[in-house]
Amino acid sequence: MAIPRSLQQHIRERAGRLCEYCHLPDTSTTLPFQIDHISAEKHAGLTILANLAYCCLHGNAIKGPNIARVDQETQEVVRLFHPRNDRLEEQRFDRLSSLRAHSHHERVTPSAEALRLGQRARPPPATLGNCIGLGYRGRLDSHTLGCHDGAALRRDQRLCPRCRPC
Amino acid sequence: MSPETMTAENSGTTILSRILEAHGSRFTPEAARSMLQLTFDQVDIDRMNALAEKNRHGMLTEAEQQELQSYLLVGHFLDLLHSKARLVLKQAAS
Repeated sequence: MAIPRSLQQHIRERAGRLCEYCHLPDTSTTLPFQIDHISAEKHAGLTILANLAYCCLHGNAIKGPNIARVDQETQEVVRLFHPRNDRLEEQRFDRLSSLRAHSHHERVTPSAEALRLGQRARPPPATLGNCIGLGYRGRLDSHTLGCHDGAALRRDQRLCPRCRPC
Repeated sequence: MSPETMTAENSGTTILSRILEAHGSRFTPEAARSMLQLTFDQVDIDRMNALAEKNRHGMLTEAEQQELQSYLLVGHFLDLLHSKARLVLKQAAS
C-alpha cells in the first residue's frame, strides 16, 4: 500500500530524521531512507503511524519483511527490535562491541544488532560534542565503515561508536 | 595488521577504509569539494527505492538482492569519501 507523502513527512519529522533502528542521520548518507512497516504487511501489519518507522537502507536490507530472526550464536528465535515498544539501550554500543567480537560468521551492523536486540532499555543520553573523525580500526562491516563526521557523542567519548575500536 | 590475519575480513569496504585512512587527509580542499558533488542519480535512487519496496514484501530475487547489496556497497564508498572530504574541509577552515 502506498504511503501518502504527508504521512511520510510526518514519520520523517517524528524520527528526527534518524533511522529508528540504528540512529543513522539521513543527512549523513547518500543512500535513500525508507518508510518501513515494523510489522510487515505480509504479517498483517497496518499502514498506520504506530506501525511505520523511518529506516535507513541498511536496516531495510537486513530486516526485510521479518519480525524475528535466529540468533547465530544461540540458535534462539529472537524478536526484532521494535521502535515503538523498545528503547535503544544507553550502553547498546558497548554490548555491540562484545557481540561483534563473537560474531565471526555474521554480518554484524548496528542495524542488525538493534534489530535483534528486542529488549527494554533507556532512551539515549544527551549528546556532548562531536566525533573527532574517522578512527574505526576494529572489524569493519559495511555499515560501520567509517565515521559520518559530526556524529553526536555520548558522555565522555571522543570517538563515536562507529569510530571506536572493537 | 599482518597479511596473514587480513584475509577473512578483507572485504572491499575494509580495504577502502584502510586506503582512505592512510591517504584521505592528503586531499586538497578543491578535491574534497569535488568529491562532495559525487552522488547517486535520480534513476538509481528510484531503483533503490523500488528494491527496498520489494524487500519489505520479501519478494527480492537473488539477483535483486545482489543488486541491493551493490548499491549499499557503493553507498558506503560514497559516504566514506564524503566523510573524509568534510573532514578535509573542516581542517582547512580551522
